Amino acid sequence: MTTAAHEPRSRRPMLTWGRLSVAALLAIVVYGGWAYSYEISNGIGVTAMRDVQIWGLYIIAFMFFVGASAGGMIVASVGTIFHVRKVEHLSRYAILVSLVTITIAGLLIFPDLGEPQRFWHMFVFANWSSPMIWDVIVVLFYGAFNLAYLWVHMRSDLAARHSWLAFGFTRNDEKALRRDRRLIVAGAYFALPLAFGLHSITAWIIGTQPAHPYWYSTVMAPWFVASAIVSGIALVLVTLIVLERLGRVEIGSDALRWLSGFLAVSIALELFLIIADVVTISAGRVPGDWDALAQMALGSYAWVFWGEIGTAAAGLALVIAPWGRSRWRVAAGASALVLVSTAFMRTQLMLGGLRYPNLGYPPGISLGTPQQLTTGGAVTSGVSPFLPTRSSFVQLGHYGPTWLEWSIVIAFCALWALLVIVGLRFLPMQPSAAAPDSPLSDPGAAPASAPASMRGAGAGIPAPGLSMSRVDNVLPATARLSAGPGADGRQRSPGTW
Amino acid sequence: METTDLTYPANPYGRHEETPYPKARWGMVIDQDRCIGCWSCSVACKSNNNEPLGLWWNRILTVHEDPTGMDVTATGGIDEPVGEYPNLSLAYMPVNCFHCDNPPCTEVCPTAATYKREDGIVMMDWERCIGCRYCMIACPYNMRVFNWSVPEQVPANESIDTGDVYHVGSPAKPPRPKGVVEKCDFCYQRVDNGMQPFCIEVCPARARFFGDLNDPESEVSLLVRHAAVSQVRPDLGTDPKVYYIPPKTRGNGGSQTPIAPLFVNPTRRYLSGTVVD
Repeated sequence: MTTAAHEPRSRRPMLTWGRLSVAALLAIVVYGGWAYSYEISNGIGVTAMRDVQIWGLYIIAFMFFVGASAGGMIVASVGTIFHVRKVEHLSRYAILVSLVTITIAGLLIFPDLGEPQRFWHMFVFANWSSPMIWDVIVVLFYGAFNLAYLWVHMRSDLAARHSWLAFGFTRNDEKALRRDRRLIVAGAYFALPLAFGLHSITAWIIGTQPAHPYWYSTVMAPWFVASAIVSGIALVLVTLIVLERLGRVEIGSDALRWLSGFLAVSIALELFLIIADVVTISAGRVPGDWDALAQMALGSYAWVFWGEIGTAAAGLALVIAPWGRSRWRVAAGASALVLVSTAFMRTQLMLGGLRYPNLGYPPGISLGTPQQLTTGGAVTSGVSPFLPTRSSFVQLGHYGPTWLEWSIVIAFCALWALLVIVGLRFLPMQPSAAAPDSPLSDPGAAPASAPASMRGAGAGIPAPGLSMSRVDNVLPATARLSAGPGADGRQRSPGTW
Repeated sequence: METTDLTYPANPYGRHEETPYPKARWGMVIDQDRCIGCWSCSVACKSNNNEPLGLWWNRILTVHEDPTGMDVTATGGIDEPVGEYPNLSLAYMPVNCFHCDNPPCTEVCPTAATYKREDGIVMMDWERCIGCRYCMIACPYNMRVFNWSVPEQVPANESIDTGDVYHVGSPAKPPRPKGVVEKCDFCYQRVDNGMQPFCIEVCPARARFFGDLNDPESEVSLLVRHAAVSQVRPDLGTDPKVYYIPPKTRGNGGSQTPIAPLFVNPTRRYLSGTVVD
């Protein structure tokens, strides 16, 4: 796909890897749609969730995607607030990833609902004391903000290519560009508290429930913020590294080093919070907390718990190793590890918090369906549900997602990739020199070395990667280029804005 | 079932916020010493409320020795005594929704599909419930049950001729849609008609008492005042309106290590023999 972009349309081969993968992703999404229709017609009893394990893979995936959507705000807004110009040429990619990720997170609520067609009740009959209402609002708001923020970043380039997506804001004079720049900076200051709110409120859905001692902890909100930073950076890094390998973007060693450093700090913070929580629970041995922790650390789901800690520690070791931070392989490996770690973290929280019913006396609590599930998740059939071994009561939660749950979640992952590809294909991802988010150049992004496909944005506008530290002294771009940073690319822009 | 004396809600699926007894505060007292663990109340509840297979609003727990009442790791089977022969002890704990004064479930429900009526009954609106199950997460007592699939009724509910599933129980409790939460509602349709919940009526040991806690002369008020009643997990601040008279070790010699009083509430003192029996 990437090489084909240079060639005239008629000479492009029909079958390319790009098209093949898009077709494969589409097929998975269609299959997921079928799986979801099966779930709608049969009820969510087709999942392995039951009255003990009340929430399952969908909410785990929801929390994972919400957390992983933090990357855009880190790259775009932290970069802006702390004057880190070396990642600014990546803002659009990061925000696109965030936008798609939070969209998928919002959609993942639907398969979890027993009556999905009534979701609008949440807006009409909103109960303001419910953390879930606040989470729905903040997810919607965060998604809308990402969309608007991405648009502000791209507006000048969209206008330059006469796209209808500029929505009539077609002027690209100095005044308009200065307005865009102001909006970007204002948005950065707005995005940071918004992102904290998003991850805290998501944490408080479970963290405000005294009924579940394992969740009812002050550490939950900071932990979710930390793991959001970890997984958000990791997701952006993995995506960018894949794109770089495909020749679509130039990350630059400075940006890679900065992102890896940020990743290292946030993994360390997350591990610290985990240790603080484990130490507190172990010291007190208050039954509810301790039983759940003992189950997770020593019971049959111990691999999830230790997998979480192990992968996070391995990712940290990888990224702080002296030879590590500027190598893309190391960054990619560490990012993949911490993404797995975050998935484990969501899983162990969901399993640990729901492992025990609250009144654990025999016979336990009723399952909600006449038949007992096996631990693998398959509904046993042909056996009388009324035999003692097939009691519809359970005293301990068992959970292993069914094929249907996996199908739907994997389809959502495919939809994620598809939406990212659509965004990359049709949006001006690489800021043109005149764009308000155009960064200081670095040696890797010299005009000649930039792949042609990156230049799509503003035909006629000089190649990407050229600097513009502040709107006032940007135009003309060529003037700025001649006065550009030193050859080592390390020159910092003076504190702007 | 349908007699002219009784009134039922026109739409049993929707909201029923009006109560003929707005000044009342319905509550229940359960004497664990009297309970014989026969599950009559559970089965009667299931039948009267047309509960689908696998869903129980009312269960009888076999409680083991545990002062907090929240020993989540309790094992053992139903009707299984604790201790060593001959010093065995056994106690039952019938549970249904506690109709908390400060219910966590209504607090977290995003659509207010579950709500507390003026008379204290925590109700479900099956037309509004979106099936997110957050109330089940919030309930510290696991008293809520969910229709995971299309509700199945016992085969006896099927007409031999047509195969149609016919409706048993109260007209106020028709078959539920799939994907909604349901729970004990103190048989509100009976209470509103001046009757007692069905579990009270069927209990062969008369272990359950129901009445108005706001009426100081009612049976439940007297029990709450004079028997050593306790609530489950009072520390959570939910103020359950189902009180327990904990089992006292008596009969059969008792065990060497008496079953500790369940759910100790230090504010209530046991006044021996005032009301019980």
